[in-house]
Amino acid sequence: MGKKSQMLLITLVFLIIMLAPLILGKFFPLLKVMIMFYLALIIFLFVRRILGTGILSYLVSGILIYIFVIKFYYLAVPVYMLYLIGSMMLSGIIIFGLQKHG
Amino acid sequence: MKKYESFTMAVSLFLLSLISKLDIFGVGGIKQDINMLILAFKLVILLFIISFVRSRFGGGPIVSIMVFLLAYIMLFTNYFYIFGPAMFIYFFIIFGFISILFDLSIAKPWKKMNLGPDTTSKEAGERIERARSLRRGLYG
Repeated sequence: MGKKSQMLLITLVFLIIMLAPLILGKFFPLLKVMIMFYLALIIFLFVRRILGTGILSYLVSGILIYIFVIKFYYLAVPVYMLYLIGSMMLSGIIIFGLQKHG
Repeated sequence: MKKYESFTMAVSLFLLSLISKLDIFGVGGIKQDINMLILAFKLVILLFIISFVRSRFGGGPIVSIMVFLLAYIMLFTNYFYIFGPAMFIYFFIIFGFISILFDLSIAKPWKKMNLGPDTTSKEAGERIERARSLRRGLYG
């Protein structure tokens, strides 16, 4: 396995992880709804942690949910998956696991 | 590299179809979309400013004034062209995207690793035997 193919393999694994929810959501519409609901919940909890409960919190989370979950669903889901990989330190496992020594 | 051509084509077509969801080919659509993304980014920055100031100075009217001032300077003046990219890099760091680049820089998957000469047990044995024979030659 050459160097280029190794880099390509790592990129491919990252792409598969990032795009898996989108592709699965394409085949199973209910899963897409679940992912959207999950993203909306994450955004709402993030806003509520900072602004507390109140009308402003609902307003801001409403705007963010509309933009990230409804309008830019196809952009937000891969970015969220990349965020999961980065925050859970899975990138090291993927990169070092696919690394070929010698 | 011909082997991967069809694969690269498929991936780029898929990515193009994803980008087209942003209405990139629509008249004026892309500008609207980018403006909307900038609005969301500004809202997230505002939330981070509120969280930052509250965690350090607690609550109260002075803190609210500080939040308004910081938000005005960072988001609504021309300084946004400095603070925006800076916050973008800050989000990259705190959300752990940098760790991916860090791992890549350590692992260097594009570079062939040099582990030194192969040391099999047979070679090690030969080397020991050579050293012994040399010693025998020197000290009788």
